[in-house]
Amino acid sequence: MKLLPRFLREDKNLIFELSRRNIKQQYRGSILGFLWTVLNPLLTMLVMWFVFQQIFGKDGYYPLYLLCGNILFTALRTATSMSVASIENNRGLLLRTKVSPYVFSCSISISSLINFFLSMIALIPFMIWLSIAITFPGGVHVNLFSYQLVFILLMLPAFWLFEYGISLFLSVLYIFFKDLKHIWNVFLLAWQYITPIFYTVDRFQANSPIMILIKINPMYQFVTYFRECVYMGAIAQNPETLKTIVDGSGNLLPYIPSWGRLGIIYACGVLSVTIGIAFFKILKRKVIVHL
Amino acid sequence: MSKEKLPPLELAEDELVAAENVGMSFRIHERRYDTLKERVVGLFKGRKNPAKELKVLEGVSFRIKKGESLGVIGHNGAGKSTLLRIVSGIYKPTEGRIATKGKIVLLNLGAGFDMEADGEENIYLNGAIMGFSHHEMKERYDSIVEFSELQDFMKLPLKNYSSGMVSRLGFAIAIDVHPDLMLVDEVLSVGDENFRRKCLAKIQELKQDGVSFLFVSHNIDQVKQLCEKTIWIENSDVRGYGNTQDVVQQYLDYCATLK
Repeated sequence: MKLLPRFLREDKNLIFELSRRNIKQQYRGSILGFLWTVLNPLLTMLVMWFVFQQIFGKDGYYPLYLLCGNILFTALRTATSMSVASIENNRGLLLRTKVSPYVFSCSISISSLINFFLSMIALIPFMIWLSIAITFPGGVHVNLFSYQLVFILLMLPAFWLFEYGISLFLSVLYIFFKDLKHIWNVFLLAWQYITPIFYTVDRFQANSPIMILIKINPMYQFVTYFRECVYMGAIAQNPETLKTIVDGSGNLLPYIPSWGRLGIIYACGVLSVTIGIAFFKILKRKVIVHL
Repeated sequence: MSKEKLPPLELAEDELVAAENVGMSFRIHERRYDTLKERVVGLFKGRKNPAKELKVLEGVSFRIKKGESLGVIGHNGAGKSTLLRIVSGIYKPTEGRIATKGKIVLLNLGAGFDMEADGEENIYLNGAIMGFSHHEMKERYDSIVEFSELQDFMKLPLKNYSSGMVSRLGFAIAIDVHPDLMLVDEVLSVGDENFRRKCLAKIQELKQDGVSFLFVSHNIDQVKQLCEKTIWIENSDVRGYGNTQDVVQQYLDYCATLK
């Protein structure tokens, strides 16, 4: 526990309690709340699949491709847009108790991460169904469950740092600009379009401006890594495609999501949270007085 | 405005709070721009938006010793709540110095409550706000519920409570924390007569155990009963500080001249 910075040691109880409350509130008294966490990404995926399959997704893996992009971006969208007004919404608490304003976006990003995790667990039945549905030319059923899924766990801390940095930044900025909510929604829409969620990047030329725009987008790295764990991992299980992953001397290599990309997403996460915390520290005093 | 950096205030062994010339001022702009749109429009129209200093509190000095209680009196808007926020550390004073020691709890009924959550959850939430872990609050849970007399309502969301019940729960949680200094802001004016008396008795009991109070109240009798010293603030200025009897008398004389 000594490893934690002092402010986190002081506030960990509150962050824990607030995250607990967020989760509880969402699933309060009904399984409907939980059901929606599962159904929402599935239904969105179905709509997208219906619309885009003709253009992008002839192969059986396309639903999985969609799903990966979707749940990750939805997690980001929910966490950030819920956090925007988090300081303002707890105005009464901040003016009457000694609570540091950063705890609200922190707990929101934690509970959103838990939700993200739950929505993935809920995808298991879908993946089983998809495994049965996809049959390859050789008549082989495909197993979508691969050990590469474990690498998702490595990604989660980086994704949390990324989400939290943005959320904290937004919640502070919102105190000064109350129209940030609308601006952020528009920004999210634009962001969503430069992230390959329903389209595949192989349609763009390597150095075209659009490709550069996509590649400097941190969410591209996150989504791609996530896909490497789920989608590419599944493809690597397939005896048809397995052959392609071989080393120089012709031995089969186990497919591992890119370590380099993992480094990049951790860098993105750390950068995001550093900016968020720095911004918060600079304006901390002004925030309370401005409330 | 040049400000020299003063060294932090020294606290004596038996002191909990020392404040020296504490003042608080806010910069208030003529127009308050709350959105980006307003700012941009303001920029294009070339509107000037001069800021002025608004002094809320000036030159407040006092000391609170362990086990001693300080009353804060004055009319509405005098700056009493600002003083409370400064002592609790929510605001940093813009002038002067303040030093505090020990566990300080701001007794604010319902401040940390989530109206959608039930009584039980709110006990844990409030405990966490004061820095207690889930486990620590579990140990206190029974005595809190017992004091609040709300045994039958713990599974009910707070929005279904009456305001009296909410204050009872708030008081019961705060009182169970056993702080060194408790900041009390006008809380004993709520709830029914019975519970108010119970609260007062509990405060007396804590006082005997050595808990200090910073007591903001309009109820002069309560201040007289609880506080050895009193500070009287009027229009952000300190009008009197010292022995409760004397300060209260000054205050009452002043009130008489107003009528």
